[in-house]
Amino acid sequence: MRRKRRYLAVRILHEQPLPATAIINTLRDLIARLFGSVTLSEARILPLHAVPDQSIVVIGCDAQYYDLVRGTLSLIHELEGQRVGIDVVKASGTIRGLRRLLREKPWLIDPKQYIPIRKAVLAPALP
Amino acid sequence: MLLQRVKACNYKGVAVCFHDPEVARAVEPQLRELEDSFHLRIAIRYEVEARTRSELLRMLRRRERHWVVAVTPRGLEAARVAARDRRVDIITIEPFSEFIDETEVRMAAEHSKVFEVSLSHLLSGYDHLASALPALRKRVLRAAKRSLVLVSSRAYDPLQVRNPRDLAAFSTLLGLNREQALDAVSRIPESILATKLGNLGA
Repeated sequence: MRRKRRYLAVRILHEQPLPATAIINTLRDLIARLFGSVTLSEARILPLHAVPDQSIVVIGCDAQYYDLVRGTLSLIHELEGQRVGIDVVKASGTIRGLRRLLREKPWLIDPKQYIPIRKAVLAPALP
Repeated sequence: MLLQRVKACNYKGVAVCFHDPEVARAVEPQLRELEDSFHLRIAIRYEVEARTRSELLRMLRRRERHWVVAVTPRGLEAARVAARDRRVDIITIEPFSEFIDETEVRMAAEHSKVFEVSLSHLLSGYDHLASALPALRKRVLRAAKRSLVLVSSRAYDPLQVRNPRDLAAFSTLLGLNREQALDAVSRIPESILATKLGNLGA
């Protein structure tokens, strides 16, 4: 049976430019450290896109592990040596649904603004 | 800044921590003004850390009726008194607190006390997390068997504030089920604020 996914739009609050891959690496590291590598592989963390201007990263995960992933995200407070705040701004069962939610206020994200996470450097975003 | 972030996270109310009752009394009028400008319900939270019974009782005598009183026990004697004293609203659970045992939980449940877990206890380095999270989970599970547990950010700067849904997700890592997790960030703190701000006639 096909396993469902959830997609999360995560906003990172930080003061200096930050590579978007930092949050994925830290999230994976934390899940492995706190819940083990089996849970990490079952959570199927999928780095998707980033919107550097708004400091938003879109991540996919297994629907069954949604709370675990979101809870672990809330434990992230430091990336690449700088203090950060984490906000899951939207979550959806499909990428299309998530993008639709992010097209609305206050985000108003245009599809052209999405770039692959590995290439993205997030612009500073303050609370 | 902190209140702006709280408002942006869609909270309806917030408790501002004070260790010194005199400072809290002095700042209270300004908080009432901020309450109006931010459209937030703001309560004063009096933080008490005590080791002995006499120390705790001396500190409790200095509180006001409409303040939320949160006790972090630093000794067994203070923990037992906090569980019984009607002036105490919240007992804080710390990751390695030795005093949240079965007796404490039973006494607290008999006197309708709420246990509180704060996310900020876990935001002090990733190395510390691997040992602190299971320790905290053990204590929360013990407390949740009989008493109510609330979860807070206990943020001292805007970057430590998490939105309510994120806090609820964090609560599930501590062993609370989905319903308990949502209550821990909504119904339970709301009822404490309603009781306390009701005393103020708000």
